Amino acid sequence: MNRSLQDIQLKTDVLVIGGGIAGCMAAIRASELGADVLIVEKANTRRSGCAATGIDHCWSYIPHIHGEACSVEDIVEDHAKNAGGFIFKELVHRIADNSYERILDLERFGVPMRDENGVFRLVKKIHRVPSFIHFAGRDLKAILTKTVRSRGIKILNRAMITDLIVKEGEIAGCVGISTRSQELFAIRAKSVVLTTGSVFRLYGNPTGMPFNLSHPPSETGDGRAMALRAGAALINMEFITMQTGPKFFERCGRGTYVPGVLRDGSGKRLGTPAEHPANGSDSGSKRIDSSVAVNARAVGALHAAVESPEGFMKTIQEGRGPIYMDCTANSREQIQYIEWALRNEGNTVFLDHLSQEGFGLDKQMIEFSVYEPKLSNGNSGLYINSSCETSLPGLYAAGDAIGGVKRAVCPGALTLGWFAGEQAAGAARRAVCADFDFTGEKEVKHRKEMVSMISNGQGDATWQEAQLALQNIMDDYGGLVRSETMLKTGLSHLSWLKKEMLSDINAANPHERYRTLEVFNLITIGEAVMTAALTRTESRLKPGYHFRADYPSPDDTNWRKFLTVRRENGHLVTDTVPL
Amino acid sequence: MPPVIDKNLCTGCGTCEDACPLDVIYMDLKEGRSHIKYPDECWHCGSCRQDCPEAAIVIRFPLRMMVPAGVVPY
Repeated sequence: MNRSLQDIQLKTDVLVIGGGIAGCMAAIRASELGADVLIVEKANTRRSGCAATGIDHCWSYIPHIHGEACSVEDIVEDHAKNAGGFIFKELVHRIADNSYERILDLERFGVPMRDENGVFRLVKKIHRVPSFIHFAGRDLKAILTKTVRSRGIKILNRAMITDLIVKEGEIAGCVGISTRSQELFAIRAKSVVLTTGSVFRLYGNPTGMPFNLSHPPSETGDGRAMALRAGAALINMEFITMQTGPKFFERCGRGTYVPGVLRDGSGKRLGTPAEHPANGSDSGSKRIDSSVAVNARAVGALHAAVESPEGFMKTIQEGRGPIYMDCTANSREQIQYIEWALRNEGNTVFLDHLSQEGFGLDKQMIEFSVYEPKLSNGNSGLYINSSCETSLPGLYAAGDAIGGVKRAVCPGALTLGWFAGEQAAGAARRAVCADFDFTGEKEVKHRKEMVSMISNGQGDATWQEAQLALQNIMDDYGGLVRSETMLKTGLSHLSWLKKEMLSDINAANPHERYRTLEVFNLITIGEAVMTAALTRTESRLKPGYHFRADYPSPDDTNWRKFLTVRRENGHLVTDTVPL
Repeated sequence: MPPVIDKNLCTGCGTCEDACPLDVIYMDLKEGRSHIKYPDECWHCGSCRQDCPEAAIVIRFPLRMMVPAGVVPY
């Protein structure tokens, strides 16, 4: 393909990269404060990001419900415990403190957060009180998109931002490409909010189908990669996590949907027994509808079992598999609740498949398994301060793109997205906007050269081959069992892969081109993961899985601290940050 | 093909094209219908099926994704 790229120059005050929940909230808030805002999204904001197909759960601290039983500080403590202390408490505090305000915002936008009686469906998971709201969030993204448009915020869909432009040590804009046409976008911005979501497709999927994932395969850590290239720091990159869900059917292992019991191959029950009923002495649940309390109790128990991939792996290794999710003893009402929740999380395909095969949750047990490793959302990502600013002035981040806030999830996206938008609007007001021809910037030139190289290459390699090679490398050298020799070899292999790709890849059209650039981003992230894993000479389970066969025990004396990674003079360097 | 589009029901409205989070559905302007241009990149999320106003889309699951559902063994 020899057609040259067409330059499109755009200008805005606040640029939001990534139109998911966090990005839309950031845009809405920045616009409220008078900024001119542009959202750039790789697909279409009406169905993009983690809530693309819908979302059925969002935790919140609700003062009039939780106030008697616990404080915001208690929620922060529960969160800190869940992350083994590896968490930025100030950010969790901000999330918990502002979560209810944002829930009310969603209601104002038209998202039904309560049941038909005006009651919140509350479920107990990681906090000491039932704090997870179950709601009908199937069309959340469509509603947010409608709200965004109604505020006059501009959306550029089907554009992949590839690089941040930095002038005199500050953010000045970005460059990107269209996913479908020959356009190259050079966008001048006074401040930027990175809300690009998490990282998937880094490790190999056990089914061998790379897009068969529990989370959006569209999220390839573009924000982390471009921020790293621009000089910003990432945190917790050495920690990975695994999820569990229906075996082989990795389009379903998300959401709070199956209050059943786990059983091993001989029918023995696994995991901890059902917790004390939710409507017991916990005063916070007095206001919970009694029928939900049943689900709350069951889901709490399930969660304890499901949240242990290590438990799963041990059961299989000891020959006691398969592991089944057994909902056959559930009441009709509970099954209907599961189906309602699944539909709102957007996992209708699981229900489709069961019905196509003549299966029923009430009739058969479903085999569960551990899914492939991944970086955990909100835990491993951009290093931000309590103002959501990264180490690069003018660059803010929120949502799953950030690091150091394990389980921030939906409320994190809502609250920190909002707050990042506010901060970015403030920064935009203060910024001096010098007009200049962006197409001359080194980042733009470099990106054009690279795009030309991969589009007009002599070779025949495809991005799919490169992706498989990357996943092989990550699985073998940077996955569940790490060591110094393996990690160093892995880094060398990644470096080799990059060079091979540049000389051999041939992207036949804009779609293949952006997929190729996604793989390049994944390689950049893989390098950060391996570098951090190499530096942390110990093993740890919280805030995420990091196992070094050569250092198999935790070393709190030397390693009870965060690790950051950033690029300096073309190399990755690490620093530590106290907890 | 993961989503199967019924050519007789499809009106070419383009809703599925916008609904796809992986951007694999393209409108075929000549035919006036949508088609799955990159079936291997389908997430099997079902957004296209959910949003199609004509109920013209059915999800077909590859063999590799078949959920093993067990009968109660004890």
